[in-house]
Amino acid sequence: MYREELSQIAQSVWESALQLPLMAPSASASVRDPAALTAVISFTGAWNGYVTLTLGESLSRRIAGSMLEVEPDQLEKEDVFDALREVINMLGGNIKALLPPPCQLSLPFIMAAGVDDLSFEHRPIEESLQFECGRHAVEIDFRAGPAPSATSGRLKPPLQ
Amino acid sequence: MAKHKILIVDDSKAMRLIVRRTLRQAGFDDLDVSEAANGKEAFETISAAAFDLVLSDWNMPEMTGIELLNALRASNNPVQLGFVTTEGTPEMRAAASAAGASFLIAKPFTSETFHQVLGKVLG
Repeated sequence: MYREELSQIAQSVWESALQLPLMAPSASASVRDPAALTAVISFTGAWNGYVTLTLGESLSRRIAGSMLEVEPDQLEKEDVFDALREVINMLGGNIKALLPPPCQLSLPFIMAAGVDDLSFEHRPIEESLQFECGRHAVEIDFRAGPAPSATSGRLKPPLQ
Repeated sequence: MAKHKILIVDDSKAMRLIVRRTLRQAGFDDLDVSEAANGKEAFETISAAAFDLVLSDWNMPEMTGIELLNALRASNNPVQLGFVTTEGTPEMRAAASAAGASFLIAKPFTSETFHQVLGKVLG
């Protein structure tokens, strides 16, 4: 469902807004690290679902540094979260144009990623896209159903 | 000649910086630029000072961009407001225009788009 369009949107956001290359993954792309982050934005309306963007800490900092024009190791954690929220916001807004109206876009939020895969148990993945950016893995998942929230006991609280 | 006063409204500090940078890259480097982190803060700022143009995101906490525009028009404030937002569907563009927005620039954007769209507003 929309795999090609999702890929094109990701490429557009990465190259226009972040001015970073987004490529097909290679074997050398690093695995998800314990400090990885997942940015989440959801859609409600004629279709209910959400999209997640998961990145390792190093790439998250590189992206934030590029947007804020600050060295990655000099960024505050909130600056990294802010940058990732804006990236998922751009992905979500462009994906929304593919979905049947009416459709409302949520505010984005950040969660700790990867450790608790049970957080997405029973939530079907419509599409899962894997990319590589500077030898770092990028994962974009497009899922149906209600987005994870702070009220779910299995999830780590959103790192707003 | 007095500088144009611009208010950038976005809950993302990174995006406010990108908008500032893109204004410069588009050739608008002689502006008096202020910032607000949401619609409520923007409304208070605009009520206290005259601006030539407001560049506002749509989805924000406290008060959205469309709520900001509606509040401005309800208070008889005719300040020009354009949206800079990921919400670029035809429905959202129609809603923006109906509410009185001067334009809607979709994210991600380029300096060329800023030059073309804002050139008509700022001269």
